[in-house]
Amino acid sequence: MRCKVAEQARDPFIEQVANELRRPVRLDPRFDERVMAALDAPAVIPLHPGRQTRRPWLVRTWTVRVSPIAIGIAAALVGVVAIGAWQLRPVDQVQVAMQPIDGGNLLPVSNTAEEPLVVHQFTLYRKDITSLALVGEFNSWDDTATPMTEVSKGVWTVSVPLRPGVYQYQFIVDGTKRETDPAVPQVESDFGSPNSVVTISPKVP
Amino acid sequence: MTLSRGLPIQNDSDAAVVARVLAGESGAYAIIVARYRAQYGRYAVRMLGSREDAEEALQDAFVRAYRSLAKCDDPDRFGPWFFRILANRCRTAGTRRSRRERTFVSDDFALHGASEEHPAERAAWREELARALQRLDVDQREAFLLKHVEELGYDDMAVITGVGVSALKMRVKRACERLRMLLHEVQGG
Repeated sequence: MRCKVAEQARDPFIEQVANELRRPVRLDPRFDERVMAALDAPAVIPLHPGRQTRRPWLVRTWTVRVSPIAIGIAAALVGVVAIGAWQLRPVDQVQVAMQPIDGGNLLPVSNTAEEPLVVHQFTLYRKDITSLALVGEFNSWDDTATPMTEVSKGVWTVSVPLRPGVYQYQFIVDGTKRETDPAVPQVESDFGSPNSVVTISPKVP
Repeated sequence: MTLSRGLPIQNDSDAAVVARVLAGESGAYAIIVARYRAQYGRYAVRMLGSREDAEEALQDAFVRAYRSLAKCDDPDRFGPWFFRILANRCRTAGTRRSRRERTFVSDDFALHGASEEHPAERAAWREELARALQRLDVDQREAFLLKHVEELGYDDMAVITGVGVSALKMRVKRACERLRMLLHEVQGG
């Protein structure tokens, strides 16, 4: 990977700059220890916890002033809506007997445990293959967790209960080859490979 | 977990260490961290101009790489694969950081062994260089560091950055011109 720049005579000034920048730097002596501790943590442990960082607005603390009358009106409205929703609930609503595939730490932060599961069917048309699996943020990219089934010639499918949110995923063809879903948008992952993106919207009652 | 101190950094190939980690020996990842910490830490410090920011980006990259180790198609080339992750983290952090006002801390560039004949002049030069580097656009700084400091070829740079070779050459050229101008101003030339 390293390529000594020999194809052209180097500018002495740039070489002087580069030499200076090639000097080693000091890192925290406990850096390795912190990295290893972070591997098991649900999120990256901040190296410098004293530093002030701006929190996303979703998790920031808000101060709201509300009058007692407004609270009473809001409570009454919530009661009316709750009773209406109970009476109008669909008979075939998916009951959470299935365990949600939420990918552990990789679950998008927009999801909450209160949101009902939505069963999403992933489908790929691919002939002349022997196996197909689904990997994504919802199953920790585990290529053995979600195998797909060939329901008819070349039509592979699997249904996955997901909470509303945005998920990246890929297909694993024949156990080795990664492919994206041609039917949905793609994003570039941190590793340079394209990932398919699916947005799961909340279930409409 | 086992720490890197005392682990045989040089003996096992990257592929062998990665295989041990994937087999469940997560502590072996400390060998990888120890092996690449210095080289890529330097890149992160140069990119971000701050040891604290660099350590955060580097830690984040190591954790992301660990969690995606199974996706490393060629474990014997863990280094280049990891470098791509780190470059992404540094680019993101650099872009975010450049949006806010920032005071350069000269100590972040304080390096080992100030044993030159004129340490005061040397320290001033380093500080000005570090400041000039941070005044480059993120894209130009990245291209300059990859080319002239990490000494990568343009093809490897293209793989790491996802940017075409001709665009990278232009970024390097502009970075050199701007550095020359900024440091020339400082030296009063």
